[in-house]
Amino acid sequence: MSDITRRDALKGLAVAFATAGVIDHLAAADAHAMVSQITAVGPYTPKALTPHQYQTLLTLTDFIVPVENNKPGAAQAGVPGWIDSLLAVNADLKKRYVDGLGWIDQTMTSRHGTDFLGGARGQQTGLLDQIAFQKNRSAALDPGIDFFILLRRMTVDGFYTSPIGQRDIYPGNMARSEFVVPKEAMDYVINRSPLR
Amino acid sequence: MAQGANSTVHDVVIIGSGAGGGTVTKVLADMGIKVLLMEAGPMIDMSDFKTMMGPSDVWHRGAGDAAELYTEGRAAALNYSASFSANMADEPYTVAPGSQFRLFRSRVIGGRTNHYARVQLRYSDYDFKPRSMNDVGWDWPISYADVAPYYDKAERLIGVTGRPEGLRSAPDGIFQTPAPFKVHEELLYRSCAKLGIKATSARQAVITHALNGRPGCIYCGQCGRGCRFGSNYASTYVQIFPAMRTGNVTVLANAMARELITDASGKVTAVSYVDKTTGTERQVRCRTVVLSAASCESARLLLNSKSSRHPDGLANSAGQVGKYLTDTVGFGLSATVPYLRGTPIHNTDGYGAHLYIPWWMADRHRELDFPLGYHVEVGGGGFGQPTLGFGAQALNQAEGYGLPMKQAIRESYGGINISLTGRGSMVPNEDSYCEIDPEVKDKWGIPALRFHWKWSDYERNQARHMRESFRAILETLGGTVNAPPAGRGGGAGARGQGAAGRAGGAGAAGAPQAAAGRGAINPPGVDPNDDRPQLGPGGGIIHEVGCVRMGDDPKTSVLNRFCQTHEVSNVFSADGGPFVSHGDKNPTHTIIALAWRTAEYLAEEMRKGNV
Repeated sequence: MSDITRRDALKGLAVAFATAGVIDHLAAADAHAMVSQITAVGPYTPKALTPHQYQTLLTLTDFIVPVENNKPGAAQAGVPGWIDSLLAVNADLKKRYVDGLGWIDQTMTSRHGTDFLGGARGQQTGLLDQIAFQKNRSAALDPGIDFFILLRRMTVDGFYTSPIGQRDIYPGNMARSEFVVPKEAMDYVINRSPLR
Repeated sequence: MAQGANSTVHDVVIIGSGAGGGTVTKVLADMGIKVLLMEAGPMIDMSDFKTMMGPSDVWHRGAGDAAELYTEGRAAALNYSASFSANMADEPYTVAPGSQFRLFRSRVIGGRTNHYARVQLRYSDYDFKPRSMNDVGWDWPISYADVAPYYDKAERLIGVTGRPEGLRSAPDGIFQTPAPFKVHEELLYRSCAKLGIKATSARQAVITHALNGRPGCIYCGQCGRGCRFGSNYASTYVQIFPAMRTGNVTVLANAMARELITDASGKVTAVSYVDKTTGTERQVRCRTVVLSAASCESARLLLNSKSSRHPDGLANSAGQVGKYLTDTVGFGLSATVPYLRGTPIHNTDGYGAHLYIPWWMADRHRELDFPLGYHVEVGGGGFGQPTLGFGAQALNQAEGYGLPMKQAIRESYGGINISLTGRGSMVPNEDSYCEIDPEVKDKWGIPALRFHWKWSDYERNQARHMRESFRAILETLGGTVNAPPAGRGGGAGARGQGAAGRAGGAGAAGAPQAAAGRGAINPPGVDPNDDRPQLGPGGGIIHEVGCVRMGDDPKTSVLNRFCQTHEVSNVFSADGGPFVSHGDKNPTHTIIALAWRTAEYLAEEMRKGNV
């Protein structure tokens, strides 16, 4: 019986084969390849939200987990679509989003005469900077703050559990030909320990 | 599929396809002997294993089909584990009042070998002779020298990592190159060295180089899911699938053995079983039968095989079947190690633990207040796979959004705990055994097991020593122990990596760990001044051995030194049942070696016409 190489065994599995010892496992190029795979399917048609609500959600998730250097953000990682698919099976959750997105649009309108999507970037971040911090709690802002806590939780969840977002931070679940610990990591810990 | 015509007499029927049954199947099939392998669970193939999967392989990613996580706080389990756990409704067992026992059964081809932690340790000389060497329990009728050639054979087939150390408590084998220590393991190695304790590379049933057509490990750290590539040991793909390719194996899956049928001469002629797919009762005829259903289930089969010739069950006229059941002593302690925070993010998956600590007091046991020792398994640190709830700590402490939020998440990522988990010997005692429950039956009408269990001072004192030793090791490396107050147990010591966001079910064993004792302050009947750790329920470590023990004296044993029952020459045992003692090591490797030896003996006896 012939020996099976690691590469042969991995045929059929879409697994990036990492070179031993390389810390930055997924080059930006690979990330964009994954994105274009996703977007190649076509634009997402929301199941629970209206097109306007969905677009607002997409913009919000993009603020929460933006593009970083060349690494994709929540929007490219499919987060808004994932959230929308959860809203489609949970009426209570959907209501929270519809109410929350509506609150954002109304607040933006009463401040700046435009919905969130129509606002200037500084107007958008001005509102988000308020509702992203619980120290700003007040009768007026509470609905927005409560919504933002939920939205941020689900955006972060959706990002880091997506194939793209997982690769943003997690170096594991990869195929390697060798297990190595980077010297930098070992030195960091040993030098801070009482056992150096 | 052909399930054996009613008139066919199979030379060998093997009941159970785990480490023992898989081994006998392969050894006999390779010799050209035709076997029928009966398995209570279904057949699977490599694509059933969830290796390399992640939350996004399920659309809701763990939020639940109705996204209930976000409105009710209930997460849906993402079950990656390869454990096909028997459910209590279909397959109950009972526990006698005053006893605590938990029986874990994996009903699938390969059984628990699909998901176990792959700890693969040879028993030492003293593990076979606790009476002569440590004045407790009973000696096996055989010794390390009898089993050593079979450890060799097992390692040549399976492949085991390790570093030769020349330690009495860690007999060296035929090793593959182990992976280097992880960061927290290097700390443990040095801390142990400072305390005069020799830690070494873990001995895992994982191959780092291609072996017998199986590729080397890709270090994804998901052994508990079953290995899609076959780079670790499971009887499924290391023994059973190759054996099936010889053409000498018929597999009868979804077949729940009920009892062994004997003829007037007292020999077994058939196995009665329930075909679970149809619910009908059937039989396969056999020339010999091998019991590999797992220690307690094999005992159950014998006890349920009553006839006028065997009124107390087969091979049980001495009343030894079910007796002297043991499980591993489990205790764990973890510590927070603050300086791990900020460790450069890197891939820590590996193949589970790369370091373990063999028992270091084997030659000095008379200095201790317990006779038999333990080894230590380790966990810690680590950058785990993100699941829902990832970064929660950062989100709580650092609000906001955008790149600063991402940075806060990054800075809080990674486990900063290190854990030590003891796995110790138990001395067999008269109060720990299984029998048939007088009333309860399983869903197919087969009488169920009832368990009796007691830990003795031997084990409680040993656990106290674990606690003191672990505290010393963890504090020497600068950790702050996360200890429960005295009087509470450390539980059975779930082996955790402490990694934030580790994927559900991907833990080392992939099977539930006992939590009894943890959080229970001085249960009724416990002396509040007794500061020894409480131990979890028997069976909680899932290393049940005994109940069908070997020995030279038929009055005090069920099997002879070749694991053939004293009373019925065509019945053999090849699982954990024969174990006379419980070593300070996990049983799997010894189950395989013994089963190999038994298979060769059985083949020789058949060749000579003795069975």
